[in-house]
Amino acid sequence: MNFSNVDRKPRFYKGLSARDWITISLVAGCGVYSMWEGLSLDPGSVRRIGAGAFPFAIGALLSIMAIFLGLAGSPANSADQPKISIRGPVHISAAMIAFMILINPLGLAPTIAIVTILSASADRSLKLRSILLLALFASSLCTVVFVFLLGLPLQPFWW
Amino acid sequence: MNIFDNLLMGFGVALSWEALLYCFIGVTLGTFIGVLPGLGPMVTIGMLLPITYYLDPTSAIIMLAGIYYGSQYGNSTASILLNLPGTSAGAVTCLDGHPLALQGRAGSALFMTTIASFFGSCFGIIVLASLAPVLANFALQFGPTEYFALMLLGLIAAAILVRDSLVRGLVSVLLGLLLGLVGTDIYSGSPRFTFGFLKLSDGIGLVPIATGVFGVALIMANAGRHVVNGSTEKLGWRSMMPGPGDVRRSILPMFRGASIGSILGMLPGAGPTISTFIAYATEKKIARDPSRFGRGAIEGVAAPEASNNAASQTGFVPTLTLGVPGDPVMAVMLGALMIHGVPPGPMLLVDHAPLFWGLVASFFIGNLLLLILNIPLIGLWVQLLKVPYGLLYPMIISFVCIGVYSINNSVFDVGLVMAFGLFGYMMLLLSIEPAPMLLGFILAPMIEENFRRSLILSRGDFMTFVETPISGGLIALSALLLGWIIISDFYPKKTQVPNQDAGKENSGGQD
Repeated sequence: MNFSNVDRKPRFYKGLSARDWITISLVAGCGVYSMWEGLSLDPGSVRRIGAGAFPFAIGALLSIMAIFLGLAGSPANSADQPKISIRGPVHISAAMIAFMILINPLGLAPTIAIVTILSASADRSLKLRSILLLALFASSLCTVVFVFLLGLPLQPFWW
Repeated sequence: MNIFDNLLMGFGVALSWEALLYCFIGVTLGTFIGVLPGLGPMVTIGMLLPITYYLDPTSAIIMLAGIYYGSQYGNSTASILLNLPGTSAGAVTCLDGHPLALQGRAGSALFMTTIASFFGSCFGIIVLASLAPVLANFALQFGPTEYFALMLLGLIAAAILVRDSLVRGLVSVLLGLLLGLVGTDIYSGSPRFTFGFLKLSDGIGLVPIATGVFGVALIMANAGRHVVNGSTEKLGWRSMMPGPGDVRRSILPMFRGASIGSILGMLPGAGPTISTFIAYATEKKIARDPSRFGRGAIEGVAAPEASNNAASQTGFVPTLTLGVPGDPVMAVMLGALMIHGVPPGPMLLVDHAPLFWGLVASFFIGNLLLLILNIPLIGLWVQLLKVPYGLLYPMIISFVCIGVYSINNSVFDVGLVMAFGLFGYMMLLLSIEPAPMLLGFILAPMIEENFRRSLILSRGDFMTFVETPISGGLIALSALLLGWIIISDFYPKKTQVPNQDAGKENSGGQD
């Protein structure tokens, strides 16, 4: 939410950053893909609209929006757009993938310990000891709350 | 039955031990997550949805609602003390709340916001209780064309009120609509956008999208980054007592704020955040000395707080009586009702009267609990803000994984959450607000179904959308809104709106 841009003048085609071009091409890509998917489905008739009409229409609107994005230029808050961080997404994704792979063979408690270690290691300021303590705490808390208190059908351990 | 009999019945439901317990859990949890920056009601409700399967529908919805309005109380605490809004609705409170804290008047500011929140909520509840039955009767005349027009208005309002950029708002809505189309087409049965995954033929669940885009994405952005927690003074009882001038100056702003919030809360797409901005702008406009605003004017805290609380109560009016959610949190609430087999809509008040009136009564009780809870607990919330984020987010990730996995015992859903987390992180980087997307996602199946049904009924005549007064009026309103915003974008003029510098370092704005 940024209200400071209310009195800005409209800019045309000025200062499109690399990030804006990525936005535009992704939006256009989604639009074109959706139109293509729409065309491969039955468009139906006006009296009985088919499955393809909505995907096509939304895709067309998205493609038009991609053009407008180019015309509108960079967003007003482009100066304070967040910096790209690789650490966060990689560690969090790794933790969630570990959960997907390990939950069935290993059971809840060891899985949560591993998930916690993987995600906590995104934060460089945490020492190994506090990460391990956190992992122990998280896995016992989750086991007690979800298995014993809420009775979810999850195995705490693999045996 | 008149409204008092109904409310009496509602209190009968809401005063049962079970309902009281879940109401208590809900509001406490809500205050807690409202205080914590980056954790909004959206994420929490998404995480708790799977747990509510084990409750009866009334307790479940009472608890979820408690989280929602409880968070509106909590977010003012972090805004005032640390200049970090807990949720986006708290951003405006920073403007005058933090200067008050810097002047050593944090206690009285917190006290006034609690009172203003309570007043706003009660105002909103009264509007809800008196208008919902009327609107439900009115809604019985709604056919597919009216529903289509109403949802169109909601989507346009959601897109433009985000207000960063109209185009980006519309992109967000359209992406949401696209995601909502994933699955099997209801009329022809042909699969759409399933990419060969059988699991996608039922469509994407609300929980993976909401938790991924709102919760996991923010954690991805903030993990490993140092969140600076400000130091805080000790708060004694004496410092909390507002001076007589504060109370006198706040009465009218509270009343105006609550009225603005009640009206905007009911409009689809508006919701609490927008209402705080408008309430603040109104106070600034009518103040005798507008220069006081931004430097610690108590009106600038009381009015927005009253308005966001009123809006979060009246937001239940369209959700429950029309089945059309006003904002993303309401959309999740609607999903929760449907999961429990309670179809929202005009018949809810008749078929599930105890649930509806129990919910309304629980709002009163919950707000009273919040009033009692909040004032003594302010010191505790301040302590909680000092817990390092690095210890908090790994736990949240664990909860998210377990919560999502346990819905269907499916690791595929966890993978979806991860995918939407990455997607949401990308949206964050590209300055596309995710909230309109979620509304689009929820409304997509309904808007498509109603559009197609209207054309089947009218035998392909597009005039059907403008022929009846209700749907014609709604469509005209949508067109006016769109036209007005385009014109005001291209012919900008100085407007009295808060220049929001506060809380920019906080990326937890989109809850």
